[in-house]
Amino acid sequence: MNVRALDDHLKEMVLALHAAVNRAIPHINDDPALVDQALRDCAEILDVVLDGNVAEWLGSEGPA
Amino acid sequence: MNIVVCAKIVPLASVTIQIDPATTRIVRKDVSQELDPQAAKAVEEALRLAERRGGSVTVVVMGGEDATVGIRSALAMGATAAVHLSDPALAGSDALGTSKALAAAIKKAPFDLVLCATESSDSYTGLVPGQLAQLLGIPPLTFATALTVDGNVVTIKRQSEGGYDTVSAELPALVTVTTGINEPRYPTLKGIMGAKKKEIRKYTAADLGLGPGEVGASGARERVLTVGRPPARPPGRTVRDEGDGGRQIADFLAGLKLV
Repeated sequence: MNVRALDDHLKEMVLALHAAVNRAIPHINDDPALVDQALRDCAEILDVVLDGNVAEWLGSEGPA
Repeated sequence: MNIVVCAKIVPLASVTIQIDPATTRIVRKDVSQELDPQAAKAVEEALRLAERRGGSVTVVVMGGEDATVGIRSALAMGATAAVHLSDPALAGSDALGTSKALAAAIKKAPFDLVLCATESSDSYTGLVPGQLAQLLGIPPLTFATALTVDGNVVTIKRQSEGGYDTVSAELPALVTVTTGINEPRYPTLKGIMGAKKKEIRKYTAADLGLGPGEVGASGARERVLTVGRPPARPPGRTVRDEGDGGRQIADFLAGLKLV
């Protein structure tokens, strides 16, 4: 398995989660629609991570 | 409209930056990195412009192999393509060497607007944008808190002590954006997966026509002589309020000529 590619992909996912949370937190009281969207986007990423389909994540760089 | 964003990949905000005492450089090896949050604002501004006016957003990054994750973040936000200047010969470049490399890479394709953060979140020199504009032969519009393009003219609002300065220039031009200009979008799952299909062109110093006298540690004219921690702050003064606390504070401030 291409561990480096997997490592990079998971880092990208975590950074995206981090960015979504950072975007939403300042707006908890003033923009519920933005917060809801960020939560949905986080859930979408987490669902894919939990599915664990590494070959799909990495495309042609899937498990070898 | 071809927009270029110069971005830096920096240690994660949660990481305490360490300096290698031997090289006086920031330790980047085995440190988790991300797209500089300041550069993300430049990417966001470029994407908003491209969405309004059409065109492409190309992100140019100079950094080691570890920079790939941060570059992909910019692509996942929506940037069209990326250019990665990655070569051991570029390591140790000072601000001018970095500017020379970025300028050489930018000149390889037509461009209308170059966006940069005002300064990076790790080294904070703020030197590169001005040098880059000079090397590209275009006007720099700095400290933008708002940015518009109308026809062939870019206009920024620059916050000043008395309000805003409005500054315009004909394209091509370079604009540096400030922290308050926008709230960057975050990469979505669709963006992350789509970014894997986007092009990251890689250039070495030789590809850019730059030799060891111009970039890298050997070409650097800037020297960091020492790096150290700031001196410990002296303890503060505690005022006990036994009926005259207000007077004691007023006297203290008057002694400092603050009131």
